[in-house]
Amino acid sequence: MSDADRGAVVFDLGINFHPTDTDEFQVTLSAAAGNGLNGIDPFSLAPYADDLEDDLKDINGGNRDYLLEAWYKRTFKFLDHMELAVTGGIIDSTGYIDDNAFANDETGQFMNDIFVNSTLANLPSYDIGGAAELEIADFSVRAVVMNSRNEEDNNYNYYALQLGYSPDTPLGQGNYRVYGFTTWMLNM
Amino acid sequence: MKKTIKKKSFMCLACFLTLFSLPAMALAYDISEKLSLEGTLTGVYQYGDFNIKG
Repeated sequence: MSDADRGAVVFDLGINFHPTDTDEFQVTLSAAAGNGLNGIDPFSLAPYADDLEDDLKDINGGNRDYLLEAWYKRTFKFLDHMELAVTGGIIDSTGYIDDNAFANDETGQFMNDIFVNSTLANLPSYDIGGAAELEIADFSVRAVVMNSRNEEDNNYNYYALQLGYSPDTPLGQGNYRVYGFTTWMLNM
Repeated sequence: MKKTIKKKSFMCLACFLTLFSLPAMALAYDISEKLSLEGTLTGVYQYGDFNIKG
């Protein structure tokens, strides 16, 4: 295999509308020119994890271009330290599962896929689904349900659950997360 | 078997990517208290040295 060099430019646009303290709408669009070395390098992980030109056309085989997210979120506050947020629409599971304050940022922090999200987790993005986030003091529970298509064009449902604990101690803040996921094939 | 593993390991180590990234330019603008826009422009140039014979 011979050497190669390529580039890419990406523009992301996020529009957020929150008419009340408990209602929120989000639309995220992205356009890119070029694919960098993604697709031609010999590694299974993309050298640039951001969504590039080919990723942004016919997203997940759904005949949709450039529109990554379009969701509505409703937050219910029960007590001082307890609230439930429910989101529905075109969502990205990485916004809820396997979150990390320092990773999860392929534009500002890291480029290579390996540093952004766990390579062992299946985390579908930009498809129809819903998420529930329950926060009780330092504990959190997040559940995600999505319908997506894999690379073999098989339609499947995705279910994930994450339990989190974020203690704030004199030594600093810690974050502990345990999550799991499963899928259910709908057709071949 | 040991020799093969050693050879493959050497090949993996020898293949590398040189990456140049423009810093992400992010701009956030609050149109009103309820509506906000955020744009990010990022550029990257990547060079892959794949022509390594192990």
